[in-house]
Amino acid sequence: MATWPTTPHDFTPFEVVTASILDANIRDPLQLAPNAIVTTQGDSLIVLSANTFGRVAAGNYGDVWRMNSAEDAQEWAAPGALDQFAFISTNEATSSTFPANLATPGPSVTVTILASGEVEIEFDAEVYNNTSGQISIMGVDDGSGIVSGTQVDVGGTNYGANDLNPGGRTKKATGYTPGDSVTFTLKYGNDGGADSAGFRDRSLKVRPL
Amino acid sequence: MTEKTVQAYVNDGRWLARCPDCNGANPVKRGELMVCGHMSCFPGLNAMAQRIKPGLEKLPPSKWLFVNVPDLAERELTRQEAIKRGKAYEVEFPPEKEQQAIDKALRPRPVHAMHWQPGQTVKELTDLNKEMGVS
Repeated sequence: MATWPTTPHDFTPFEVVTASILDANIRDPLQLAPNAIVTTQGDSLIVLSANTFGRVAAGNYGDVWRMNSAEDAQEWAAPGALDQFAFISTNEATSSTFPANLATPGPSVTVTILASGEVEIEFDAEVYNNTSGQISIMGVDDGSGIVSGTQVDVGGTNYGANDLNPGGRTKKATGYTPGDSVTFTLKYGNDGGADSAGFRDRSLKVRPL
Repeated sequence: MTEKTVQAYVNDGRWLARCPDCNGANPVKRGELMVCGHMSCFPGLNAMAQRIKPGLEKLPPSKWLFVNVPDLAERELTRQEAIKRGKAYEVEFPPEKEQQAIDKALRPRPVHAMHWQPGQTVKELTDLNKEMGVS
């Protein structure tokens, strides 16, 4: 947006200095000066636009200084805010043939997408199936469906009925919009339909790249 | 521009030029020399005198009131002294038609935005006017 030039007033000998000249050249600039913007111990000054300072209030203990998601100002944020992790120990089963929620949905995490539009997804659970040789399924849903490459078969024909085995995977997902807030949820199923796949100690970690 | 020349510019709607000695700004007019009236140069250019307030001349002196008037004689003496010392400067304005176009382009603006520096084109001024919604 265009603005008028902010050239200071040049005073000349014996000039009649009016109130409006003093306001425009002394009062108004002082109101915009850094010492008039900061109000509290621990405040930080940032540049909002050409010739304009802004105030950022003090953060909390351990916060880090970083760019905001719009990449137009700095902010204080908790250092662990980028990676998100969630865990559910509840042991529950499903006979769904496609990845779906268990009685206790999740775990779920929400992250803010960084400039690359990419995230690393890591998920894991203790898996069993009530029918020998059947396969259980896990996948990660990002709100618009199962994320490509995250639907995996866990367990398998070498396992007997109700044998516990660990299952999980680490995947990279791409194509998200920087700055967007996206929620990821771990979902479950089994490939037989008639049998039941069980899951416990379910964990999900998502890291914006 | 020579050593004896100063450059005119517009600041808050006034044509000014800076003194090469004290860097102070002075009002300038096309065709007139600039002598600096700042305190460190030739403050006598702003000399004032007092005269009896008109209408009180026939009263006894104890009843007189005074008004300030420019001391034109002192100002001219100061001016001649500046010229003698080589401190009167030619002022370089843009060509007359361009100066008129600059004045015309600045006129619709608020006073605090009436600025022009040598090298700035009239088109640059009018383009900003359009962006700011004045014409």
